[in-house]
Amino acid sequence: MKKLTNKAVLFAILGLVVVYGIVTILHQNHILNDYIMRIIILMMINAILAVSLNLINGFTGLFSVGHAGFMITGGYVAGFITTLVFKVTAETPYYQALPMFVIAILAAGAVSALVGFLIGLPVLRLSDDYLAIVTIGFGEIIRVIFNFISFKVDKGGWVQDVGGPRGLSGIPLLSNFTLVMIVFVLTIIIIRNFIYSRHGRACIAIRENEVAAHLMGINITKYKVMAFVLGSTFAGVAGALLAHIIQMLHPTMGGFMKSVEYLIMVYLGGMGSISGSVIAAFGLTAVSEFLRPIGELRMVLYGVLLIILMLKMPAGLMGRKEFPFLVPLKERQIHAKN
Amino acid sequence: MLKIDHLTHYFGGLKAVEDFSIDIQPRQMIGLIGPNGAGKTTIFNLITGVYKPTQGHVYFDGEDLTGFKPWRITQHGIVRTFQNIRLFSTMSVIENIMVAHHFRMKAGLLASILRLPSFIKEERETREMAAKLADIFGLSDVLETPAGSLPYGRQRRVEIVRALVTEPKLLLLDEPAAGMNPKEALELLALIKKIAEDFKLTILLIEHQMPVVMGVAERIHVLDFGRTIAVGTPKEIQNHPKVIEAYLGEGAKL
Repeated sequence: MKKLTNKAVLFAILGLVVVYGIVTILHQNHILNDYIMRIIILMMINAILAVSLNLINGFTGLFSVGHAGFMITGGYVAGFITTLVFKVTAETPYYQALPMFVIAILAAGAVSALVGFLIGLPVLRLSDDYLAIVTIGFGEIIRVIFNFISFKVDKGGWVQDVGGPRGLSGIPLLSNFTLVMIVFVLTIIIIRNFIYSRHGRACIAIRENEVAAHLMGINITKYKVMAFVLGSTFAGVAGALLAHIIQMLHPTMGGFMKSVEYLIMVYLGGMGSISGSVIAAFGLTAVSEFLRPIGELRMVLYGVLLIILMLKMPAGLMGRKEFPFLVPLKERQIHAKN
Repeated sequence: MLKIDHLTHYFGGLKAVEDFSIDIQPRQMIGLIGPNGAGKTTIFNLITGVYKPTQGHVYFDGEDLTGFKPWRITQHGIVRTFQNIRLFSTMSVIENIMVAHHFRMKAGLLASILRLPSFIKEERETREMAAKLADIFGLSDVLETPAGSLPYGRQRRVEIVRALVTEPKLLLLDEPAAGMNPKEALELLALIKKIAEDFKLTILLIEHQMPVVMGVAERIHVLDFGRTIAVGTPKEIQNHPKVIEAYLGEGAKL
């Protein structure tokens, strides 16, 4: 049985290496142009956001509608750090910029985690769906806050305004395929390991029956906050990556509509399935991008597509199933038996 | 061990429990009976912290637990099962059991995410312990089945096993034999009695079926409309005029 574990995970690792190799080679030979590479990177960033939101909404059974708020928080934090603190520009050599960017990513995650904690702690002590209301409010507050935060930067002779309603522009392009893929894979591993541990089981138990979880000695407030903070952290990290690929941020990107996009990915993929969130994030990002040529019509098509999928598969694409390599050995035996 | 002092609880203007007192010594098995709506389950909810009592106190091992959150009371060693089953229905039977062992486990967040050897060892030990207990209750063939898809009687057994893995000192059983025929009920109670001896448990038992509770409890408290109307050995209770009145109506004869 031990070999089986190694096999599925080994195949997954092998698959990752092969995909990474192929994409890199194709890119170097200009078969995949920069535009396609951008979409691939966006797919992975959206997958980080969907999986981390799934941890909150799908696995723990909370209802957060403010994921984009945490994303934009991380984005702004990282953007401010690279552009204003470290003053990274397009001319900065990558090997110099990379450590600064890593610091910015970690800071983005930390700040989002802190914000998540400050919001989660008071709200998650209450039962019911107060979290939904508060996170909607949070999205709006974040938008307003970033509308107000602006700096004057001395650009060698002339003063430029940065931030505020005009957004934060001039963020250096630092998110490349390799880096985003590393963060993406790490995110999946961390969240998967969290879920298949006593902590993750506690979260799922809360989703299944809050009263029973409480009476089985689980500190439900603690675990709700833990899931919420962990999810927010990864949203912040994803925001940092996003800021450094699209190279500008705008306060409205933290709003409710953006959060709904991530909610759709989670529900479409399946509540409580990491695999499902990844598939849905990849699929929806690619579809909405490739439908761009037909203009406004794509939103109609996008909507119809969603309606059909939800009618045919109400539990989402994957339901609660996972790819075998995402399930530890002991749990996988369950699926083999059934 | 468990000492309840003049416990009173109102739902709005309704007196659900009035002036309830009980003193349970270690290793005792006490029955709590009464007609529907007598306040039995409310007492369980008060002990386990689901409700806060309007008046009165709950002491456990000399400590005042009144007003504690349910999870803290469980961690102190009081655990219950539910009359209307509350399992984690999409989780497998073994996971249901493992969840309840949660607060006895030590693996921290970092150890879990990094899959340190200590985490793997603890996880394996918990799984083996859960499987062993499930086996005692005849659940070893359904370990990997979603708990919600089991028949009623077996779900009750899962609930009892789940309660046991929290390693309680006091076990509160809320009608564990509900929905079973007298023969099945007696079998289950015999099993519970054996478990109580093996695990050195103290048990407070709510039961509807008189013969069941008569056979196992050493002392019985009878409730009616929230008031304790009789306390005594099964024999005394059986012939107590107030009990007969509460169950069968005034003037009835057994």
